[in-house]
Amino acid sequence: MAVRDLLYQSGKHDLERSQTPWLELVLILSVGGFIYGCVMGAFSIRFTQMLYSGLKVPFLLLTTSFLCVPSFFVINTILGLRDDFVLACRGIVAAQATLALCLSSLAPITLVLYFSSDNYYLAQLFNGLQFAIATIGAQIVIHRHYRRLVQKNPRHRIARIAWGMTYIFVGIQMGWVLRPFIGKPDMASQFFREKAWSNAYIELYKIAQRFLDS
Amino acid sequence: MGIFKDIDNLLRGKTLSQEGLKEGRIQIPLSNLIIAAVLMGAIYGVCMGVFSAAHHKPAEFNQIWASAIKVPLLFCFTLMITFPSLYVFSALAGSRLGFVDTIKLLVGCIAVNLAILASFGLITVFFTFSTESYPFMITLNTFFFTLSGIISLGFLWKVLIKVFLNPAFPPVLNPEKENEDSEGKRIIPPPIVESQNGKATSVFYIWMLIYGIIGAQMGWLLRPFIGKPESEFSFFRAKESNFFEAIFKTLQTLLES
Repeated sequence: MAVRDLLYQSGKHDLERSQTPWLELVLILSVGGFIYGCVMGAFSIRFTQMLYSGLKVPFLLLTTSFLCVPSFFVINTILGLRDDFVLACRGIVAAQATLALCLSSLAPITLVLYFSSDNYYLAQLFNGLQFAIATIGAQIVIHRHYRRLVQKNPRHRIARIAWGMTYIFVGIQMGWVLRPFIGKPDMASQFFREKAWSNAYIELYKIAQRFLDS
Repeated sequence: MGIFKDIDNLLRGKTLSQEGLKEGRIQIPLSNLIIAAVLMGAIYGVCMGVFSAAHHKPAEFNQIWASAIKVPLLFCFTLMITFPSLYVFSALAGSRLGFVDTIKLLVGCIAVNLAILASFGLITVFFTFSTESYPFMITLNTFFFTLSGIISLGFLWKVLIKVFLNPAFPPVLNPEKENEDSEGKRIIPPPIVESQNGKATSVFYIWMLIYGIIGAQMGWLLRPFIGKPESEFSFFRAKESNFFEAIFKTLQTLLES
């Protein structure tokens, strides 16, 4: 019922309601993220990796948001949008919950891929695609929340873009730090990789350089 | 007889009234749709499995019942895997269809697909007895599955257009200056039908993509349906490559032979 209300913005999730069901949103985010994480970690059919990934996906979404909220608050304040900050946060958390919900709805498809192929790199690519698809769902919900805010004050558009850029920037690094999510078959199940605290962007630069040199 | 009447009405487009769909209701009994779909899938499965009985030495009749079970299973598993994402994304796009009605719509679409496929059954049997080429039979069956899939998607498209004519999320107008421009002149809102057609198109393409890819791969995982003449009977084959790679290789073999 809560899931249906979130998708249709009805009941407790009606945009006209002044109260926000924060707990319900966080619960949907956690459960949805846990389901997809468990499936993501099922590549090598290892229970520990499934559990680790199940815990890490909601953690990834929640901590990334948590780290971005202070800067979002300051940006909203500078743009003169402080009065609408709670409504903006509501849109962001609803979008996160929708992302997790979309991911969990895509989980059976990921299982089919794991069942069809043993290719670890294909699994990585496919999970990236699933996150991209789920992001579309999240964007639809954030758009519904924000179109009212933008009508009230067009500066909300800038705040939304700023949030999106910060979130992606932090999210990529958080995903890198929290890896592995899928679990390489020839490596032991682990919560964090050794040298987890490296920089995703520097690693990407090194990979690009190696590719250009080869 | 009620089952066949329901399917006949579904194929004629009588069952899905515009008024019902606008309110998010589909007035077809789900049980009848499921029974009809299973029955027609089994009929086509039998037609596919006949090849093994005709060309395997000694005749392999096990493939007939195996395919009769596996064709309905193929559609059932595909629906089970794709339904959660199909429902979530159509709801996000503003579909008025609830959980059960979305299932009804998709089972209806599958019933149409299998009805068309079953109608090709006799042609499949005819070719089974007139050719010994296994790659040809694979290509023919892939063609029939694709053709029936495309026709059933046409059915789905028609329904989605009706569903999105009355979306759950109509376009928002400024509540304070409703239907007025900056100078206070009255403006005519953009035509809703056109924008909703766009949404129906998006949902349709997403569904088609997800359902098509998963359906094709599921068919690959559940193979064999026809049964290679030189291979022993097995309900499932070992895990190897994927559907798209396999169909490319089959076409290559067919053209080189």
